[in-house]
Amino acid sequence: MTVPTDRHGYAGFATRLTGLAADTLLLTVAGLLVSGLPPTVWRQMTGAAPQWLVVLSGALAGLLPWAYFAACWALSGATIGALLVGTRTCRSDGTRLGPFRAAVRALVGLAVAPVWLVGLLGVLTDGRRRAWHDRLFGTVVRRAESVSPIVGRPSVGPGPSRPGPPAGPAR
Amino acid sequence: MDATEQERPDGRRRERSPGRLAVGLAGLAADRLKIAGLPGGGTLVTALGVAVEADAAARRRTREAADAARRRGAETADAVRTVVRAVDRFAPQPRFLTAPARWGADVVQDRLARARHAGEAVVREGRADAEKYVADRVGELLGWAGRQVVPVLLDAAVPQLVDDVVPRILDGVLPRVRDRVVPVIIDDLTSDPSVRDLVKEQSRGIVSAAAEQVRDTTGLADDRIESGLRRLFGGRP
Repeated sequence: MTVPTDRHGYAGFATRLTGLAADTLLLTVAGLLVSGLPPTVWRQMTGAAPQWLVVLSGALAGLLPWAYFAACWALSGATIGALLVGTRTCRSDGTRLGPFRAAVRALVGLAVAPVWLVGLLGVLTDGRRRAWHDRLFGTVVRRAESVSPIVGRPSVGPGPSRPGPPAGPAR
Repeated sequence: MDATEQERPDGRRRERSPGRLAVGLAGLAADRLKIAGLPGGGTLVTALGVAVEADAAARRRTREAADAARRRGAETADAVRTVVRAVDRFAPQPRFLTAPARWGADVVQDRLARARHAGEAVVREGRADAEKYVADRVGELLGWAGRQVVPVLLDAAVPQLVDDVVPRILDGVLPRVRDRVVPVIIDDLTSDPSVRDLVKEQSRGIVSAAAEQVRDTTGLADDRIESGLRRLFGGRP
């Protein structure tokens, strides 16, 4: 595969890995707080924490990453880590993912996280820097400065078979 | 000799008036100004001379008016006596007898009124001239002082102030400022909405700059990784 000249509008391997690392760090802290804080507060106030509270806190902590990724991708296309590195996840035509697609994408990514990470190597070979899961779900990850505001419906913009957006600033 | 009187060189006595004293003080001031090198010193003397002459003229007019009044009074008294005699003689014809006396009194009053008006005019004009002169001289004096005196004084005083006075003032004032003023200023700044907004904007700017740095760095890393792979695989990463 030859390397196209317009791939600077999409997030590359290092950018996506950095955003993912930032999200992972954030979710680790948040998961610890969600799972440990309510039982701790309960113990401080009334004594031993009930089992149901421990189970509920753990369940919420387990669901938190999925809810986080799904909500961020569905609402704005960007997680906090993505905002840090300046990327947005959208469909190939530039529209927002939608709740279902975002939820499934997050579920698959979290369920088979090692495969997800290996699939990121596809960024290095694709003309639009798409990972394997991007091809699976018909999504792309664009750099923020190269994408117009994400719209709710498909309107104008390159389709799945069209070339990507104009080239970004030369690096 | 009375305290309000002085003796002239010609032996005559004269009264010491506040106006003349003021004129003398003005003359001394004019002498000082000439010594200081101010322009127009001759004009000052001339103006004072004019003022003195005007004053003398006014006094001469007043004295002449008074003499005239005295003469007219004597003449009137003579006329009155004549009239009295005439009345004794011509009692049945009073109007004929009193007409000359009335005419004399009118003449005296007219002379006195004209003399008063002339004196007032002299005083008014002299005062206006003096005010204009003083205003001009004060303006010139201030301008000269600003150009010539103040810079010299500052050049001489600044080293003294910097080396001696200011350190002593700071040593005395700084502890009080530190104890009393600084806490108040800090309280004001922390409670000032504009300062809070400024700090918020600066914090936001720092975060934005850091994020921009991260974006640039990761974007550069993307390109380097891909170009390295292209070199490794001969243009086919």
